Amino acid sequence: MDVQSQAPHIFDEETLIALYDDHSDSIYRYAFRSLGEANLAEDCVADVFTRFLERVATGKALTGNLRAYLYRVAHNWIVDYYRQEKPEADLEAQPLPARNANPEKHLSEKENQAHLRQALLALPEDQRLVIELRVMEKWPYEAVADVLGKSVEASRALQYRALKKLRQSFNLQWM
Amino acid sequence: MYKKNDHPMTDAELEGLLAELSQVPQRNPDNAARTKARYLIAVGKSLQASTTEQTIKTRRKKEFREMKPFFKKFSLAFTLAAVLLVFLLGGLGVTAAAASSALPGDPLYGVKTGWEQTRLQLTRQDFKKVELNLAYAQNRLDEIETLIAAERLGDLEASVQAYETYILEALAGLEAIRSNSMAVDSQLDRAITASLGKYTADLETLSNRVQTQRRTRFDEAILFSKSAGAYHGKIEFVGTVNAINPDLWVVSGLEVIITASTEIEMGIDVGQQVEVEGWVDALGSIYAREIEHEADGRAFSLNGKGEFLGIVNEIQPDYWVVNGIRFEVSATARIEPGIRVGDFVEVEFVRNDKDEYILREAEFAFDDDEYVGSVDEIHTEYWVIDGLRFELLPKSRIEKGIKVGDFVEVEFVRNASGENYLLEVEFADSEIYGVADEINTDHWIVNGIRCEVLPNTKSEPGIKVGDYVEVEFVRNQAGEYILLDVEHEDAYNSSDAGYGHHRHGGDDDEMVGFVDEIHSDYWVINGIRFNLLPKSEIEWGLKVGDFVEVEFFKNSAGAYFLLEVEHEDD
Repeated sequence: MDVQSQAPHIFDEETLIALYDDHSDSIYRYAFRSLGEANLAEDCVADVFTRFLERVATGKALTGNLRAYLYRVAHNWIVDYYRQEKPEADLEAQPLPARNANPEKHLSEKENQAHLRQALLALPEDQRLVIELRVMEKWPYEAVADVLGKSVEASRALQYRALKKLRQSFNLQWM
Repeated sequence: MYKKNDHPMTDAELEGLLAELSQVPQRNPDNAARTKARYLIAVGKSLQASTTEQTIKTRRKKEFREMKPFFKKFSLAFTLAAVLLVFLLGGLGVTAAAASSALPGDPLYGVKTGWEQTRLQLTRQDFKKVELNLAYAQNRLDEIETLIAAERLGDLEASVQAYETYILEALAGLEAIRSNSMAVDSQLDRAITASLGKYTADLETLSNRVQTQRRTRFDEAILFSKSAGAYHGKIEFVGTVNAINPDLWVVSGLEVIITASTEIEMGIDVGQQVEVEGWVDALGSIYAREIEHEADGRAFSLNGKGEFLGIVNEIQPDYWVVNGIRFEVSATARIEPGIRVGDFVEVEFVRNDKDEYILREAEFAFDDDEYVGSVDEIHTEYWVIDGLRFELLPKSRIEKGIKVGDFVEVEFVRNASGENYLLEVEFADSEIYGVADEINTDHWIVNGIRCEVLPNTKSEPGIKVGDYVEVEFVRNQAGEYILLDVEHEDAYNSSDAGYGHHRHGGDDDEMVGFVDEIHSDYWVINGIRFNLLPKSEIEWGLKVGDFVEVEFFKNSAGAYFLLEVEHEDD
């Protein structure tokens, strides 16, 4: 459910539960990809929606796309987490599920994935969202454009820019 | 796999890394449920706090007066959260597990069905609700099988009834979704038809395992499953009972099929007025879900006027018969076009001094629907739009100039036989993006298309020839483009979007897009005209439709010049 510029009074009980049902899984997946750990991702989801409730309680209307707002809160939570937990060490320490038996290759994959996570977190918000929704979640461009409040063409361009930045982040190291 | 200090990362390597990163293992359902329970508690507290803050003074007075029980102050969410937490964290988790295999008549059966109801209540998406209802219908069939194996035939009734109820809930969910999305609708239709086909086969198999005298109940459930597969829509109408049989009633001349799950109010007799709620299948057969006394005959006595839903039995120039009741048709009666005998209609009427019913308005009981799509075929009797056939009516309103391939908006109704009747078809509102080629007081030309300017046309100040704009338009009956709104295309103007074309003064810039046109002296990419220069570098083999990266600059007059264009694989 996308709610734009909604006044808080529309958030009745049913709506609040529906919002959670609609968005919690995708926020979880985003958190897991960034954190690499299931329990931490659950904590992130819980805190994101608690912050959302706190925001609603202030009585200020939410502006922009709700999904984008939730991703933004999740992103801030993740960045805060790494800030407190020494990012390099933690990013390296969180393995992803699919692993290769070759130790040297495994180490390289781990490094690359850790680097990619950092690079993704460093992207501007709209570029990060395009990668998350379009590349990771396989949404059609039209839906991504809707969340971003941009045209399909602009969303394509954002993806192009984001991928270019990610490639460059690796190639800077190579150079 | 890419390895640092080896070579620059390629597109394929980055894609591989992103694909790996996108893999997320299945979320642990217990953990997910705990997180949700935390949220529900927070919702409950938040709503409670909000209520407290807003109404504390008035509430104290009111509570003092009315002495409401304490528990009523808690919200549904808070209560559900508490139940969830008890289930997940407390000893009752074991009970819930044990209850999952409980059968009707067992002490824990209520826990099992209660849990199903809780899950249904917590599910807000119609699609998921339909899936859950179908899954729970399957649970009931599993129970029936176990009960037969255990020779507990006396307990079968509860499972059979619950089975039918879940199917009806699934069908009602389908009805809710039907209005939102035709694609989802047909997908769900297929899923439900497939499920009901399987359920029918299961019930037939189970029916063969029980003694003949028990089979009647199964036959009813089998008939129900078969008929429910043809569910067309929910109905509700008022009529007079003509005949009462165990599995078939006649109400105002209409046959109403009674199923195992039909709820019938006690004491109804022939000659009385009743309200029938149920559904109709694609052949027009009516299945009752509930039949009750028509409350005080209000439909026919309320200040001498009323309205009700019914089936058209007869249509004559001066009168109609609906549900066996004759309605005189006056010259001022408003009658929706396309209604035929057999259709469900909503009738509004008055009763005159002679106790005659005068028809004021008759319209399809099913709401008008709207549909947007491309015209596939145009015939004198019907049109096909995005694969869906729409029958034409004498009064169908068709905007002039529409031809095959045009994008149109259709208003239509679907009758009881599932046929679509076209009420109106017109060019769909649309928008285009492109470069403003000309700006005049009475028309603009954008991307070579002439758009007429009307007094109510809105245009963002500051737009000049050469700017990239978003145009909202409609086509009029003559096929002209009428400009509704024109504004700068924001994404294009944003530097983040990768264009940055507002950096005047000859700065180079780049963008990505699709090649629309290729000419000897200019190209059109994403609707923008790029003039070629002698030094323009063009990668060999590019053609219309390719996705390309363009390096360009814009001069002070606003014209674009192509420096380099190449394939962009992303």
